[in-house]
Amino acid sequence: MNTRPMPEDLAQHFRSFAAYLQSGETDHLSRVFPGADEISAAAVYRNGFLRGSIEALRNSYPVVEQLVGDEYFDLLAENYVTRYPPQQATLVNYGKSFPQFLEQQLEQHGLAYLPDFARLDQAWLRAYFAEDSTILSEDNIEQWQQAGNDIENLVATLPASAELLTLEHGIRTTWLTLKSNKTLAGNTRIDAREEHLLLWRDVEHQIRVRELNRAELAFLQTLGKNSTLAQAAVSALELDAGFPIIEFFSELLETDVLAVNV
Amino acid sequence: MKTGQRFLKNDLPLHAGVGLKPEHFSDVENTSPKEIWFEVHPENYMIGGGPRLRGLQAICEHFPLSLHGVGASLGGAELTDAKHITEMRRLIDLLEPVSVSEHAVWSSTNGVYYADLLPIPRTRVAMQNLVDGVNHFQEGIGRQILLENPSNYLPVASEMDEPDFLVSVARQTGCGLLVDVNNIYVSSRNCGIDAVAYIHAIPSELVGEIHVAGFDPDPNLGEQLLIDSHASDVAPEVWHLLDVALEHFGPKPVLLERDDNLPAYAELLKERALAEQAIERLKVKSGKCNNEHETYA
Repeated sequence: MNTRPMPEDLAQHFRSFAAYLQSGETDHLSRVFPGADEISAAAVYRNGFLRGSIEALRNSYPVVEQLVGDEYFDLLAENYVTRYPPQQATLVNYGKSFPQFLEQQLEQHGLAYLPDFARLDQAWLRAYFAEDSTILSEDNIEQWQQAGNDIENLVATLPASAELLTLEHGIRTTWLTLKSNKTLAGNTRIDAREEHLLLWRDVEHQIRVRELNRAELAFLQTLGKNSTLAQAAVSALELDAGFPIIEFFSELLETDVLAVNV
Repeated sequence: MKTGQRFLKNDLPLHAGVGLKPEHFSDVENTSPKEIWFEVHPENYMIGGGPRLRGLQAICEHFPLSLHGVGASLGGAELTDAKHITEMRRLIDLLEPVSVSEHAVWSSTNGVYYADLLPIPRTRVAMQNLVDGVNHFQEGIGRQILLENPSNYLPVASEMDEPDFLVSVARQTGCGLLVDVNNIYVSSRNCGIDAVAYIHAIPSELVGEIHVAGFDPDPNLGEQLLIDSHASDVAPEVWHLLDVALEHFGPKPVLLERDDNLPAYAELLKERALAEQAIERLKVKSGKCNNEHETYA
């Protein structure tokens, strides 16, 4: 915060206005609009603040909104905005703690899986807006080998868009259905089971979601720490002695999941 | 782009532009008139990368771009924070906009961003505060800005009229003015000011851009309170004020703003054509040629 000295009258203008915007109590407004006979028009400012912040949450958590409906989403979102108002002038990343907030509100909404849907919505958004990375290609690998290097010693990494998630519920299929605006089947079930997911943005800018087993997750987690392919393979083989390293590595390469380590 | 001044100055073409949303990116290249320019809110592009940023970069290769900020809080209790200025600089370096603009309002205090354009008093003290805010921002981004007049819903504490207030800020900071005639109309209806007198009180040489947009009646108070919603077509009264403004200022770049209830891009282009025609009428009248760019003090 870049505070600056100012006369008390002006400082009071901002304090009073902010107090009204946060609480909705019009008592604060006599100093802000001293010439106004009727103060009800001031609601336009508070509505603007709430609407802008709620819209930002709606854009960030579209599947959560589909699950609970727009009216209930507005209720949850307004509650969140009042407790955790935006802190930056860009709203594209607003609501980072919304999944945790939904956990705290479990008694109110009663949907144990809702925070996981919020985590997946959030991971999609992070992947969508992440920095671009230079994707590792087969040519890169050929060059590495032609230079006399062993592929086992190659240090590849994950692109900036890659997100590794461990959720408490198996929601991937349901989330994908809702994300593509399709209707859920009547017998849709969401089980309380651990689910590991990888999200990433491919070179066509499509966000892809793949379920991982524990060995695949370990492989990718190790790669994400600037390790060699050999080190990543060892971490996967510790969990699954039959882990198909070559097939998995080929799939990663073909689907733009590996980035050049810079 | 003009150089040799303290800051790089704004250099919009003397044509009509439209506010651009990612929903319309795919329509832009093939269906836009060649003289069009675009304006975006930079806050929506303060991201690492991906299709939104790449899409805008691609459009910038073919069309002039204006960055129209809504979050600098120039008249607020604190100066614009360093992170916001760094993000603005990054976008300016990346996108090379022909113009950068902001609002004569506040929106942040004490670490909270209130996501709206909030009014400041029109007092000498508040004016100095805004002057400091504009100077700090212009220094930070290394660019001259255009400063937009706010929409008013209630009368604020006032020692002077709004045009005098803004003109004085422009003179003290070297910024230009962005005259939003929809805001003037909305303020005239809500607070009883004379819209035409307002426009006539602004010297042409300070004006770098004009905005037109749609308003809507407040859902609770109806026609008693008009909201600068950017969610409707431009009203006939606002088109009339645009003519008044162009008549007074001479030909200026005009932007059609639309932020909500977004129509198809082709519909926006039809509405933009009305603004282009208004500029062209003035150009013919004043003898300015088509390729001229805006110049102002």
